[in-house]
Amino acid sequence: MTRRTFKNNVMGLLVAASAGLLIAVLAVILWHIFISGIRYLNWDFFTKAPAPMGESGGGVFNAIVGTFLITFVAAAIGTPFGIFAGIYVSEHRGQRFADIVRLCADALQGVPSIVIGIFGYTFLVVRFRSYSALSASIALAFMFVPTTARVTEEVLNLVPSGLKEAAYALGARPSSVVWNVSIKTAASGITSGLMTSMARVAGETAPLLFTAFGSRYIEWNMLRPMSALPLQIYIYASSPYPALQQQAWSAAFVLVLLILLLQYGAKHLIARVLRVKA
Amino acid sequence: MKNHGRLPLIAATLLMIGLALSGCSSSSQAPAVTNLSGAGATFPYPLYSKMFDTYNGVTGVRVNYNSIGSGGGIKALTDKTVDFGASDAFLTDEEEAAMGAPVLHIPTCVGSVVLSYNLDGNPALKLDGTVVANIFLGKITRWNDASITALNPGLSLPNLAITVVHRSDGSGTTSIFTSYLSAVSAEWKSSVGAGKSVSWPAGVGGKGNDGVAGMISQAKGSIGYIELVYAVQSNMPFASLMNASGKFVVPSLSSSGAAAAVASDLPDDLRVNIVNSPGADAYPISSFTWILVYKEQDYAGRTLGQAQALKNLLTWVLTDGQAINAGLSYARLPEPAVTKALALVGSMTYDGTAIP
Amino acid sequence: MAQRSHSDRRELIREHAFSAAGLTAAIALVATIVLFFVQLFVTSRASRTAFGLSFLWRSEWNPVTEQFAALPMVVGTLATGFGALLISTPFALGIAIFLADYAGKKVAEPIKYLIGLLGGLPSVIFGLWGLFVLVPLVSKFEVWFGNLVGSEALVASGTTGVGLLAAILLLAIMILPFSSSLILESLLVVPAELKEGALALGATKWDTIQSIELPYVRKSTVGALVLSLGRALGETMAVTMVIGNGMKMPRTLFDPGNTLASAIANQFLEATSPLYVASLIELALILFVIAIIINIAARVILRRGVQQ
Repeated sequence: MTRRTFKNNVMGLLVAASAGLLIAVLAVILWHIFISGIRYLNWDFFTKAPAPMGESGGGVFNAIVGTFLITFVAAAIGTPFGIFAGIYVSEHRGQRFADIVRLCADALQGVPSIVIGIFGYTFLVVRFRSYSALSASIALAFMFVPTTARVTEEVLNLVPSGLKEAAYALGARPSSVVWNVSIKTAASGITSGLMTSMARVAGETAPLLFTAFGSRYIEWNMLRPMSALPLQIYIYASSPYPALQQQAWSAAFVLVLLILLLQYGAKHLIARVLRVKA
Repeated sequence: MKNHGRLPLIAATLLMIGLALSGCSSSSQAPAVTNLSGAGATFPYPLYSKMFDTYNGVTGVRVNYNSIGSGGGIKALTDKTVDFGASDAFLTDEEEAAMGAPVLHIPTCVGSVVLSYNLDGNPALKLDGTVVANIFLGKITRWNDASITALNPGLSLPNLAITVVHRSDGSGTTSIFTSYLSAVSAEWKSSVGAGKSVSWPAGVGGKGNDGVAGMISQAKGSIGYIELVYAVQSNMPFASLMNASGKFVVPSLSSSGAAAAVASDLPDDLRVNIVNSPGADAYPISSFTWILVYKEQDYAGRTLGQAQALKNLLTWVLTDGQAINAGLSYARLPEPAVTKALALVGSMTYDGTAIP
Repeated sequence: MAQRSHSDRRELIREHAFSAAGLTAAIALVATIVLFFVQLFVTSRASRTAFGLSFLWRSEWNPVTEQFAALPMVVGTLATGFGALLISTPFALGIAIFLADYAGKKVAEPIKYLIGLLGGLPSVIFGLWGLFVLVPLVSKFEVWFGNLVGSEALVASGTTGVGLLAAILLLAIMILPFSSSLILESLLVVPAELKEGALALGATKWDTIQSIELPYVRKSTVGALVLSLGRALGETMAVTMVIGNGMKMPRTLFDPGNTLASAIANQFLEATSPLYVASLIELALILFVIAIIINIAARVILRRGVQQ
């Protein structure tokens, strides 16, 4: 064996080992969440609000409700902005302002979540004179818009230009070309992008610390403080009570399931529905 | 196919309408206020958690309390984002001036701060003020230090590094603990001082009473200060301390009550410090903890209903609610304190007139 | 005829509404960045007036005496960010090369799926795992290491396991899926003819990777790493949960510390005095500016890498 082939083999082993290590780490993390999470799951966990501090029992239904409400409202606020910004950039490809918009979307994606939390507090909470789920949703919408805009743009760029040209040749206006040709062709891609953005936003904690603030009660009013799963996990994980630490693991399990559901389950389901209808 | 592109938009619009409606409906049910929110001290959190849960059962009013630290309670009240704040340290004249309006201090219970530790076999440790101060100054660094073993003749302490755990957040518990250290150690007083957050000479920080307790329970050889009830509920050991009259006292319900009982001539505004109390059975690191409210309740668009709900809650906490204290290792308020506190609650106003 | 012009007008209105919506959304996106900057800048004014530029290079953070300065947090942020990058980069490269050149489709696809999964886990979950699984391991390591070197240096920081080291390890895991998939993306656009040419000339697979592929993707790899660094610097919850929240300048990797992000997460709600609040917001402003610069720089490098 020459030095070159020896080196070739060693490096091959090394790169395979790094992939193996990645799988091992992921497996260990998921295994802990699964084992520690599932052990303390019971019906109360999904249907009840937390018991008073120091007492056993209770659940995280308040946080489950909160995560759904906060995430969906954030998506509702962010979706129109994200999609239209994506359309704009895609339609004005190559123009200077569109480039700036794309760069801003990229930069916004990199803004640390805690900065968005501070912004939410100083800009919204202080102004509303109350911690509220709505201010959390608005803060999360700032994370939702840039991801949605970039995905929309990327998906629209994949629409074959022949399709659009054909529509223009038939005398269609730009708006109807975008609406009836591009968006429809790209619908499943955009929807799955929305789901991914939602999954990402649903797991965020830092923007909620100073906005949603947390509540022990099952709360439906967006104008009041509200809990959410990530927030509850953070609070429980740093508590000294073993019972609460266990609930943190169970809540983590539920959150991971929810995110997987949003990210993969819903994506496949929607893709299938769209394909069948088409 | 035609509708699919619009689906997200339609969903978005519906959600927004729903949102607007839910907002409207909440503001139109004005008079009977059923939601109050408060934030602050972690020291009385187990008590408030139980009290407000009971109060919800009795009256249907939901009091949402978040234990974010005394500093946080003061800040939330200053920013007017909550109905009441909670703090283990009373406001200094300066802080009160910064609030912009007079603030009432309503004491709710007497609690103790204990020194909890993590050592094999959970030995019953005895400490005095000087040793505690030196540990937290970083001058005593090992468990088998001569000054510790001298106080604990029966124990064999390990040759193990001491890890000091303190609060990382602005905390009334810290304020109580550091004013105790300042009272017993001249060096502490001059080099660190007392406050809600201080510049710690040694150790690691945990967030909240619970964060500190959590950190102690995880690390061998650590020592930190936490509220008594956290130590009791999570089965953590805590040290007996030598008090001002030279006696070792195990922190408990009665020993904190003993500290409060000594403060016989309470000031009318109930801003009073009871650390290192001279009582023979008094545990030296004891304190009142307070709920803070604005005296004038007509601010930032608050309704009379909110003011009434708040007043009712405070009255209940001082009367029926006191029965809950004992069950959770917080001493009841002494009778004179309750009388003065109820007078303070009675002095709350809305638009200048007493709240009915 | 009237009918016709009516529908024409409607279509025209729709046309205008549509482009107006696009433009509005685009402008809103750009305005957001400006709004963030202005809001953070205005609300941190008290801190700038009090400390000026010395906020950046002094190291005392003391709420009692109202002295605030960012250096310990800046150091903590850079130490954890670069530390994590240093540890995870070789693995990221290895994974990307494995997926691009070694693994067949049947192996690569599931692994890519897993990378996506790991990258999609929320920060707070890494924090939970870090706090209860990683930190005790680091603590054991600290005890072992302390005995090895004679310990006294470790006494000050204790052996709780929380500290910079735990944060670095956790961050290294967290940015791995991100950096490896970005590097993989650039590896996949290396023209196949280049590789085949080299192989045909008798080069081994590794020769090809070393002399053809890696130089080809050098720029985009740097871009990917800068982007990963940006992510590590701004990571909040996981770091907050394991870094120990020390406000002093860290001296060793075992010391508790703080990053800009974790200091804000820990102290913002408790900060009472206006100067304290403004100082924390100034930390956020510093973090914001660093994040924007790093992201834009990374995108520019990446774009050049692709154009080349």
